[in-house]
Amino acid sequence: MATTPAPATVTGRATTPTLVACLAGSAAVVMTGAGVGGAYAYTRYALRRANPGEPFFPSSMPFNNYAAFIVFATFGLASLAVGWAITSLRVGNRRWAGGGFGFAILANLAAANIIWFIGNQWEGAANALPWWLHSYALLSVAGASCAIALGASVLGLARVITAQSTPEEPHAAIGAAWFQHSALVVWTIVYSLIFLYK
Amino acid sequence: MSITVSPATTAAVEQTAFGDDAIDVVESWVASTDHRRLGRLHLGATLLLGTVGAVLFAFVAQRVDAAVRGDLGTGRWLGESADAGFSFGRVLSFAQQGLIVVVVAPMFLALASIVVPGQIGASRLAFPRLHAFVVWSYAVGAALFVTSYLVVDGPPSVDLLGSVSGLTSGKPVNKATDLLVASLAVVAFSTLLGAINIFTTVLTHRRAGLSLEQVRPFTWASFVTAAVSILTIPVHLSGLLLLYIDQHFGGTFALTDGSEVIWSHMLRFTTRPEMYLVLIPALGLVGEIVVSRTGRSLLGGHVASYLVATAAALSLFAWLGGATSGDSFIQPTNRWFTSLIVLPVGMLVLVWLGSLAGGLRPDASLLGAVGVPLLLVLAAVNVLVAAARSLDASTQGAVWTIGQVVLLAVAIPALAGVAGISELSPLALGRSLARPIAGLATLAALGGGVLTVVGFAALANRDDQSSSAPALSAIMMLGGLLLAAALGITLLGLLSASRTTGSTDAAHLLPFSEETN
Repeated sequence: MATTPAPATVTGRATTPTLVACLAGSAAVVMTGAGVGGAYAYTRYALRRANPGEPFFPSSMPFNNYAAFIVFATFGLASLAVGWAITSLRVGNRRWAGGGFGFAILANLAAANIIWFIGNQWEGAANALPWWLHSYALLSVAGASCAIALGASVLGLARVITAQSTPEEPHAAIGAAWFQHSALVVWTIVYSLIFLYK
Repeated sequence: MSITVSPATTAAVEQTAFGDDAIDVVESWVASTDHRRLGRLHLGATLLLGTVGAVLFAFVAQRVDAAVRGDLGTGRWLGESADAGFSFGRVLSFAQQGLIVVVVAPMFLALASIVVPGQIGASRLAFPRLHAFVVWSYAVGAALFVTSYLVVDGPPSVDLLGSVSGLTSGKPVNKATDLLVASLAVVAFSTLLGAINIFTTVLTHRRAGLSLEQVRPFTWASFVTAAVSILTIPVHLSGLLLLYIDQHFGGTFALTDGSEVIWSHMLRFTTRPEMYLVLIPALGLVGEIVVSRTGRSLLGGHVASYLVATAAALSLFAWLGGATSGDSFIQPTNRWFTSLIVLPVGMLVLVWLGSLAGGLRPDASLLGAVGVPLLLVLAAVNVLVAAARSLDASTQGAVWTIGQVVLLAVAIPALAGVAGISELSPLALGRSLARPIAGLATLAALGGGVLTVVGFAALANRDDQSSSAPALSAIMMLGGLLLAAALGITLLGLLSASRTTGSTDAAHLLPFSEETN
C-alpha cells in the first residue's frame, strides 16, 4: 500500500479549535455552578424535611439583595460589552472592540468586588449552619467564574490590541464572550437559589 | 488504495537510542508536545498505578469476608490497628478511588490521545501544549493521591457499608484530607482538560470529507465520553470545593441531613455518571477490535455509534439514583432511568456478535472482544440473581455492590483496555505487542473479572453470613491479583515495545467506512 503524508491540519471548517474549546470550557464553568447549586437545593430540601418549620436561611442573617442584584446587572453589562466588542471586531473597528473588552474588564472587577463584599458580610456569622457552607461555596464558584471571565476578557483585549483577533479570525474573542456569558449564567443560578430559598 | 499517514505518525515512532546523553533524554520527554510520546508516558503511569491499586484491592478482597463478620482485627492483613494507619476501610477507599478515578478514566484518555489524531487524519491533537499540561498535572495529582494515603492520620475512608468515617468538620484541618481533595481536584481538572482537547480535536481536526459518523468506533466512543465528561467532571469538582470549604471554614456539610446523597453524587462513584462513563470507551474499543478483526463495518451501519451515544447520555441519570450502597447499584427494579443503560449496551453486544459472524482474523485482542460481552452478561445475571434473592441492603447489598462496581468500572474496562492496547499497539507504539504478552494479559484480565464478581456475588448470596468462607476469600484475592497481573503484563509489553522501532500499521488510521468503500 502506498503511503502519503496528510496535511497537518484541516482548514475550511466553520468551527475552530479555540471556539470549540471555549464553548466546552464555558459549559464546564456552568456545570460547576450547577453542581454546587444542586447541592444547595438538595440540602435545603433535606433539612426542611427533617426539621419542618425551621428557616433554612436564618432571618437574622444579612443578605444584601441590592448588592446581589448589582452583581447580576454588572455581569449583564459585561456580557453586553463583549457582544459589542465582537460586533465591532467583525466590522473591522478595532478601537471599539478594544473598548468593549476594556469595559467588560472593568465590569468584572466591579462584580468581583461586590461578591467579595457579600462574602465579608457573612463571615463569622452562625457559621455552623449548613446554608453558610453552601452559600460560601456558591459565592466561590461565582467568584471563580468571574475571575475566568476577567482573564478571558484581558486575553481578548490583548489579542485585539496586537491585531491577532481580526474580522477573519474573531474566534478567540467569541470564546472570551462565551466565558463571560457563563459567568452570568452561574450568578443567575446563585442569586436565584439564595433569593428563592432565603 | 492509497493510505494517508500523518507526519506525526511516522515521526513519533522514532525512539531514543541507548547511550544518548541522559539530560537530552529527560529533556526530550519533559519538553515534548508529541501526543504519542506523551500518551505513552500517560498510559504507562496509569498502568503502573493500576497494578499497585489492583494488588491492594486483592488484599482488601481477601478481608471482605472478615469485614462482613466484624472480625477484621484478627487477620494477618489489614487488621484494624489504629497505629498501623492502614485500616481496611482506608485501603478499600484507596483501591476503589484509585482504580476508577486515577487509573481507568485516565487510561482511556491516554489511549485516546495517542490513537484519535491518527484515526481522523490529523497530525496532532488540537492543543499539544495543553496535552503536555494534562499529562504532567496528572502525574502531580496521582503522586499527591498516593501521598495523601501515606500520611499517618489518613484521609476519610469509606467502610464496607459505604459510610464515610474519619471526616471531621472545623479545625484542626486534617492534612491528609487536604491532600486528597487537592489530588482529586488536580486529576479531575487534568481529565477535564484532556476531555476538552479530545472533543475539540475530533470536532475540528478531521480530515476533509470525513464526517463525524464515519469515524472509527474508538474515536467515536472517545468523543462521546469527552462530551459527557465535560458535563460531569465539573460537578465532581463542585463536590471537592464543598468538602474543602467544609474542612477549612468549620462548615457542617459532612454532618448535615442529606449530606450522604450529596457525597454520593459528587464524591463517591456508586451514584455518579462516571461509574458508567468508564464503560463507554471500553465499548468503543470492543467495536474497534471487531471492526479490525473482521475487516468489515459493524452490523447496522451507524446504529452502534448511536447506541454508544445513548448509553453515555443515559449515564447522566445516575445523578437521580439513591445515596446508599444498597440502592445505588444497577438493580432494574430500583432506578429505572439508570438501568435503561442495559438496553443500548445489550443491543451493542448483539451488534458485535452479529458482526463477528463470518471470517475472522484471530488474535489475542479478539479474546478481549469476546470476553467483554461475556462479563457484561455475567453482570446482568448477577443483577437478576440479586433481584430475585432480595439481598439485605446493608451487608449483603454492600458486598454485592463492591463486586458489581469492580466488575463494571474496573474489570470490564481493564479487559477492554488491555485488549485495545494490544489491538491498537501498531498505531500507538509503532509495533504490535508480542502475542504471548497480549494473550496472557487478556486472559488474566478476563479471569480476574470472572473470579472477582463470582467471589463477591457468592459471598453476598450466602445464607450463613456468620461463618467464614476462606475459599471465597481466596477466589476474590486471586481475581484481584489476576487483574493486577493483566495491567502489569501490559505495562511490561508497553515498555518492551517502546524500546524498539517498528513500522506503523496503517490499517487503524483510516476511517473504517473508507476502507470498505
